[in-house]
Amino acid sequence: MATKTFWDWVGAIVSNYGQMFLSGAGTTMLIAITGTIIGFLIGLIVAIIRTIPVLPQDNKAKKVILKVANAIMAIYIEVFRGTPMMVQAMIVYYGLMEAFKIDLDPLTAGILIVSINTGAYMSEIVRGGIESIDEGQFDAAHAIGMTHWQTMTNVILPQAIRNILPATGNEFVINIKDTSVLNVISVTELFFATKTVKGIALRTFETFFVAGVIYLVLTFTVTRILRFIEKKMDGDDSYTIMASSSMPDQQFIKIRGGKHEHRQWLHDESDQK
Amino acid sequence: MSETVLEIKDLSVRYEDCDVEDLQVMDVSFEMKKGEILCIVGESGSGKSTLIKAIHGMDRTRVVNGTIEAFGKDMSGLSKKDRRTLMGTDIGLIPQNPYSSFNPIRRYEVQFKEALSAQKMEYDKEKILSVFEKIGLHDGERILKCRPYELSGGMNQRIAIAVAFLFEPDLLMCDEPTSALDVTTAGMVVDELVKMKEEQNTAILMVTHHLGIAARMADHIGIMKNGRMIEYGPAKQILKNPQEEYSRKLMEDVPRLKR
Repeated sequence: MATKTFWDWVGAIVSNYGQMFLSGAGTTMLIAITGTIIGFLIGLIVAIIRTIPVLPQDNKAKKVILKVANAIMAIYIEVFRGTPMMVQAMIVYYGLMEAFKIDLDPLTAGILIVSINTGAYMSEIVRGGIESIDEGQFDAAHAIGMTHWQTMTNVILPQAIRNILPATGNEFVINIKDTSVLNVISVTELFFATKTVKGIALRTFETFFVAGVIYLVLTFTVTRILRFIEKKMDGDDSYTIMASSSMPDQQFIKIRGGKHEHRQWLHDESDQK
Repeated sequence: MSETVLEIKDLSVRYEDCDVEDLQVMDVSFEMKKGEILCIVGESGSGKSTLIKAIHGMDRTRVVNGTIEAFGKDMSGLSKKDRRTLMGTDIGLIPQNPYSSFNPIRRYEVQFKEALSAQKMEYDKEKILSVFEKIGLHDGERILKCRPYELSGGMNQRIAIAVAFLFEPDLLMCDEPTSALDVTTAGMVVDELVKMKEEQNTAILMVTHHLGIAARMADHIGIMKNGRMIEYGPAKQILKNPQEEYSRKLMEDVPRLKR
């Protein structure tokens, strides 16, 4: 029997167990996407609550509630950032079953863990995004009588979210890779599927090579998509520079993807009338 | 005419993060009546802007001592909700730095809508354009389609002024509203403010380090130094016959045009 080469093995593994890899990748993406989205929402809510200003004249109940809420959220962030996701997974899945007889199915437990874990990181990322916005805008919003909620949703968050999009993308990519730790609670994601295939094919190198390529394709595709979204969010008038300092000309050079494009402004039309 | 709009007694203010001893405003007292223009003059860091922020009850200011009464209500005792209803429509603000006050990436049209909706006011384009016209912004249609970074500093500042004008407040606080404007436009804004006072009986508290502007519009002038109001009185008296050494020096330091 002729010895099989590396590529022979890869080919054989892909053609025989391709379906297992694909369904594993599907589960990985499902967990990563839902986890990142829910985590992002948790992050937004936590950051909004944590930035509510407390004033000396506020009533006692409000102060106490906010203080307690802030303390809980601080503990939440510290605990979930400070412990490995693998440990969290063990505690949530097996721990809950043992101590409280709560029997989650592995996929639900996986999504839950990734969500709250991402939420802890996202809270800090969103807080950073909020703090990057000029204090003057908070003051201005205050001066026209906006509520904290109005200030956040109308003024601050649209800018903050735009600023934290790269960091959010990072979290997403990290989540795709980190779902692999969920194999300890037997979620059939890509790593678990690979381990199973390895158990059948008895080839470690080639099997995990295939898994590595799939992870790389997933993360690469996601980063490209995120970059595209970022560009879209910048808007099509992403950057406009005044061509001359003299206002009457009103001639602007618009830069879009490196191409120069001249734009006649409404002003010019009205002048010609 | 003699209705008191703002009454400040022995006011001391510090910033949230600073030590108690580190007061930005110390023992300031004054009173403003309807249709009165008070100009507060002083060097940078003398506490002028902090005073305005404290009256507004900005989140980071803390009143250590004294009272602020606006329209007969004790401001530091008001709940946030009650205070919000006063903001904009009763107490207006022209911020010092429009670049840091507007959302830099959104069109002014959207920002005007949002600002007006905070006090449940209708977005009335014609009205905005007419306010723009008054302070020398002639191509309002285009401005509304622009974002702050697409316009010059002076234009942004005038847009901030327009926002304050739209709300038609009874008490308008201006924090160096003309710092980025050329002399002609600054004059235009001052005239508009004076007109506002005359037509709507607005009380205007103006912070500036431009004595010329103070001389042109003020009924009363207060001079601040190191957080204290060292001199306060009718404009003519202060300009002609300043009592304090520092005030005299301040008057002498005004650059004059020699012809």
